[in-house]
Amino acid sequence: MLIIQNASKSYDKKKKALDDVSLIIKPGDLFGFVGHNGAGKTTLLKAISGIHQLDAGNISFEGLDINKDTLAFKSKIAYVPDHPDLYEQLTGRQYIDFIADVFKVSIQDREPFIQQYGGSFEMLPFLKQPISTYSHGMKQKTALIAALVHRPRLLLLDEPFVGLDPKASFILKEIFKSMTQAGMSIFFSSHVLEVVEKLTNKIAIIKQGKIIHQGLTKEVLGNQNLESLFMELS
Amino acid sequence: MYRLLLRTFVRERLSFRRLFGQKIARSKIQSVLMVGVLIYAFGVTSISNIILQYEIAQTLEVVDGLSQMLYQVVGSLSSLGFLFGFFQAQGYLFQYKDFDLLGPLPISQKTIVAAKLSMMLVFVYLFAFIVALPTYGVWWFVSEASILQVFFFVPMAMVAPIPLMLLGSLVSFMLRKLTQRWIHANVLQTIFSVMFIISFTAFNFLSNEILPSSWFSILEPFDVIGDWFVKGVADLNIWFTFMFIGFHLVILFTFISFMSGPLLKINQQRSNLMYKGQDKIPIRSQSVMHHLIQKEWKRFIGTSVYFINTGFGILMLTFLSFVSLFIPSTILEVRQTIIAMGFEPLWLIVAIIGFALSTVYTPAVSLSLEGKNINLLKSLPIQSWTMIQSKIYFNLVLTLPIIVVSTLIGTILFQIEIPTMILLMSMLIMFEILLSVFFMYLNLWFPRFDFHQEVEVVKQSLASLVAVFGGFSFLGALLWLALDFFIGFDLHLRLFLLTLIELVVVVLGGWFLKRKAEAYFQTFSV
Repeated sequence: MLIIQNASKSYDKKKKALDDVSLIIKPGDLFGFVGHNGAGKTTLLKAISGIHQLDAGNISFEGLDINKDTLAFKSKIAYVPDHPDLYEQLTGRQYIDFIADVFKVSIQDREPFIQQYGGSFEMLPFLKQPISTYSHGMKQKTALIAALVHRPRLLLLDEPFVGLDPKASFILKEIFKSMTQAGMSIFFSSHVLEVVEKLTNKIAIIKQGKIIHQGLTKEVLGNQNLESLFMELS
Repeated sequence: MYRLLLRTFVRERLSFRRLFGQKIARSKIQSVLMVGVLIYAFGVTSISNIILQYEIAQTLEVVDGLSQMLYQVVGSLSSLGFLFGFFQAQGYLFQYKDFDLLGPLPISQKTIVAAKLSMMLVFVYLFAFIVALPTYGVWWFVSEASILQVFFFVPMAMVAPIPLMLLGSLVSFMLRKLTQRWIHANVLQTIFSVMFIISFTAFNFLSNEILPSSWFSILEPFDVIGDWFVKGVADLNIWFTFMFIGFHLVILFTFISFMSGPLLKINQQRSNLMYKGQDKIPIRSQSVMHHLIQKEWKRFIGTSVYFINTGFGILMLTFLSFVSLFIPSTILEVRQTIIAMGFEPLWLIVAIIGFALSTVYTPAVSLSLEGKNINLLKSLPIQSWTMIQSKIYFNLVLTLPIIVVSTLIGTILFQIEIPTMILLMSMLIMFEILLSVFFMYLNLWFPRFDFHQEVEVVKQSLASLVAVFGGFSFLGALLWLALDFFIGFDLHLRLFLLTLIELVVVVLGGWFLKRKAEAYFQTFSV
C-alpha cells in the first residue's frame, strides 16, 4: 500500500507545487490522477519515485519509507516519465538489460518477458537498433517494457498514453488490468479523461497543488462524466 | 552495480555513433576514413610532443635533471583532471541530465557518484595519451627504465588526476551556485569561467621570477606528493607508491562518502530556481537574420565551454593587441630580428592573426549545438541557406572587428605603409571568410545533434577536431604560397594574388554551399 501523508513541495518558496497532499493507493488499485498543466501531477509522481524531495510530509510503500529505506522502496516501484530520456546510444535491448540488471532480474526470468511484451508492443525487430533512431512512441514502449521487466509492485506513469499508437494503448490498458488483478498497484496521470474514467477504480483531481477530489471513480463521478466534473471543478 | 553502471556510461558516452554521429556510423567507408583522420591527428600531435620532449630530455640529461619530466607528467595529469572536472561536472555530476532515469532506480547515490567520477576519469585518460604519456615514454626511453617501472607508473598515473578533477568539479559547481539565481546566469558563469581558466593557466605558466615567491609557497606541501610520484616511478619505491596511491584514493573515497548525500539533494532540488533581476521583456520586430544572429550570440556568451574554446582566438588577439601598445620598443626589436632573418615583418602578423582565427571555429559547431532545435528550425519557413548564412555572418561579426583592430595596431607598430596595410587587411578578412565557409562545410558534413553536454560538440566532435587542424592547414598553405610559391613577386602583388585566390575559393565554396544547403538540411534529423 502506498501512503502519501501531507506532502508539500515548493520550487520557489512562494507558490506550492504540492500543498498538503494525502493519498492512499491500495494493492490492486488502478489510480488515475488528473489536473491542469502545472497542477502538480508530475511533481507528485517524481516525489514518489525519489526524483524530487518533499519539503514536508511522508511517502511510504508497503511499510518502507522513501527517505529511510530508499533503495528497498525503489526496488519495488517503477516510473515511466512522460518524455522518457533514455540512454540514446544504447540499443533498446541493451537499455532493457541495463534496467533488468539493476533490479537483478535473471536472464531466464527476463527473456520470456521481453519476448512477450516486446512482441505485444511490436518492438522486437527494433530492439537491436540504437534508441537514438526511435520515434517518441518507440521510446515510450521501450521505457514501458523496461519498467515492467522486474514486475514492480507499484507502477508510476506520467501521461503513459501520449505517443502510443492505438494498438499499443489497448495493450497497455490490458497490461494495467492484468497487473492490478495480480495485486499490483498502478498510479498514472493523464489528460485523456475518457481513458481515466473507463479504466480506473479510483481517481484524484489536483488543482494548484491541492487534491480537490479523490475516491472511488464511481462515487466521485456519480451521474456525471469525468469531463463535466473536471470542467465544473476547475 | 558499479561495474554495470560504468559499462552503461561507457557505452553511452564513448560509442562510435555518439563520437562520430549517426550519419558516419552508418557508412563503413566514412567510418574507416574518420578513424584514419583521428589516428592521423592524434598521431601528429603525439609525435610532435614526443620530438619536443626528446629534445628537452637530452638537455635535462646533461644537467642530471631527467626527473623533472616526471614532475611534468604528474603536473599535466593533474591539470587535465582539473580542466575535465571543471568542464564536465556541471550537467554530469551536479544536476546531471539522466537523473530522471537513474533517480527512481534502486542504486545507491555513492555508486552513481563513483561511476560518474570514473567516467570523467576515462576522458582524462584518453587525453593523457596526447599530453602526458609522450613525456613519460620519452623519460622511460632516455633513462633506460625497466618494464617493472611501467607497472609502478600505470596505477599512479591513473589516480594522479583525481584531486584536481574533484577540485575543478567543485569550482565549477560553486560558480554555478553563485550565478544561478540571476537572469543572466549563463553569461555571468561564462565570464567567471573565463577569468578562472585564464588565472589557472597563468598560474601554471608564470615562473617564480614573475610572481612573488610567497604565492607559490602555498603549493609547497603538494611538492611532497610530486616527490612520492617521482620516487615511486623512478626508484621503484614501494612505500612512496603506496603513499601516493593511498593518498589519492582516500581523497576520492572521502569525496564520494561526504558528497553523495549533498549531491543527491542538489540533483533533487535542481528546479528550485528563483531568478533575480527579472527584466521587462522587450517587444520588437526585426528581420529573420537579425533574430538568427542574436540567437547565435546568446548561445555563444551563455555557454561557457563554447565561449572559452571558440572565443580563445579573439581573446588572445585582443590581449596581444592591447599589450603590444605598451611595449612598442620590444615590437621594433622583433621587427629588426625578422628583417635580419631575411623575412618581411608583416608575415609574423599574418601568422599570429591567422593562428588565432583558426581557433574561432563557431560555424563548425553552431549547427550541431542546435541539438533537437534543428527540427524546430527545419519546420519554420526559413531557407536553409539563410540559416547557414547566419552562422557564417555570426563568425564574421565576432572576428572582423578584431582583425581590423589587431592589423591596424600590428602594422603601425611594425611601421608598415598604409597601402600594404590595406592589402594585408583585405587578405586577412578574405582569409577569415574562407575559414568560416570551410568551418560551415565541416558542420554540414559531420553534424552531431544528439549530445547531452555542449562539451561533446565543442571539444569532442569530429567537426571541431578537423576544424582546428584544417584551419592551421589553410594558414600553412597561405604562408607557403606567400613565402615560397610567389616568392619572386612584389609584396603588394603577392598580397593581391593571395586575396584573389581566397576570393575565388570563397565564391566557389559559397556557390556550392548555397546549391547544396537544402539537400544537407534534408538529411538532418534528431
